Amino acid sequence: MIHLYAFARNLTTLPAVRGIGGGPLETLAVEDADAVVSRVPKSDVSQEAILQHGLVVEALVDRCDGVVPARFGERFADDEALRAAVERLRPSVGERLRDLDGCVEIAVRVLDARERDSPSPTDGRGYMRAKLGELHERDAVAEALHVPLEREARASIVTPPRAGAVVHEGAYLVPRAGLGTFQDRVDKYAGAHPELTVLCTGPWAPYSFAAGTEVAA
Amino acid sequence: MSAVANRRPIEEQVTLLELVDRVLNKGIVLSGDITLSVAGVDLVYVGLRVLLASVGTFDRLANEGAS
Amino acid sequence: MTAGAVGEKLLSAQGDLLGVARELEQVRDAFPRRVRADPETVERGLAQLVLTLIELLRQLMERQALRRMEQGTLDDEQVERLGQTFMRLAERMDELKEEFGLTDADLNLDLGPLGNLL
Repeated sequence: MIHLYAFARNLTTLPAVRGIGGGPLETLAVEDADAVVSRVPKSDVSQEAILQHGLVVEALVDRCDGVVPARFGERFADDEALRAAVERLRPSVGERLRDLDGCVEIAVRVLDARERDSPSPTDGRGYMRAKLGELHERDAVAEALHVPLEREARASIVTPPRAGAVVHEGAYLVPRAGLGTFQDRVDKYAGAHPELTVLCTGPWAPYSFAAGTEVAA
Repeated sequence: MSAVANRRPIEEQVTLLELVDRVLNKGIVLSGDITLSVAGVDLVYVGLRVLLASVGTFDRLANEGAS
Repeated sequence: MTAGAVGEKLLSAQGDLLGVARELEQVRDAFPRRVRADPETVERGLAQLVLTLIELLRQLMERQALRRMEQGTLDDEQVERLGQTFMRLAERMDELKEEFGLTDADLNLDLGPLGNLL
């Protein structure tokens, strides 16, 4: 089976990284890009395979003009099957690569891990007040953090809120040239809110924006 | 994760988890053989995306018809 | 990049990183459940999709109610009734999740354009 890691535009050389299961990386020309693949003998979904997939994709970022990462699990019987699947893609691989050109992904997570002083609400009004408080907190973070970050990004995706301590979860498509300013804004926000947990990681390959359905800034 | 990985400092651990989150849940999905996903989930799931696209088209057509 | 160099991807971090790790581990641990292909898993996969949609609707309705509460267009009795209803809905969701062996991470399916409603 052929395992697909990513599509790359103007890839210089393959990185000195092995594929899943130790096989060599190969390229397959599709449209005006390269599909980066490797042959895998059997279905391998171990943590090692997952990590290896990620390492391959990240190793590509500095060797080409743009990367469209594939989700883990894209496997094909042969070259033809892969080519056929690429042809069915809308938007096309070429379009996605152009949209992502020169950009990397930065992940920002904000949690409020503080213990709630008030006990769990037992009445409806108490529940609504608590929920409104959470909503306001998220609104405040959105305004103070997300809006300035959005300005530095070509696109952004904010994950809808889930139950739990997560107050903000965003992925930002940032041009490399803007990384410094972006980082400064995150640090400034974190400094102003020592009571919150702030995690900022990157630069990643633009996983969150590979599907071509993100909200443009 | 292996025992060695669990001894990594917490910073490395969360960064690794961020990568794994991306690899597993983000990234492009081709409509090819998704051999790793439960057929039941992804078939219906992919079908939902197609359905969503169709709903969008239906809305548009309905609005065009009304004008 | 090697596995050891993953640490270079950390740009800034403060606070309860263990809490972040716990959240992310939930996500990672949900993956093997997607991969097993047995009848029970297929049924859970369907439940996953259905519950994800129900959860989305629940959150949308709750959000709507909260905004109206903010605007002051709800009286105390309405707020109380709505709160009670949402509390019961949340409890029911927890029960359903437990019945199907699903965590919050499992209900995180990418709904494409629907996800943007929140």
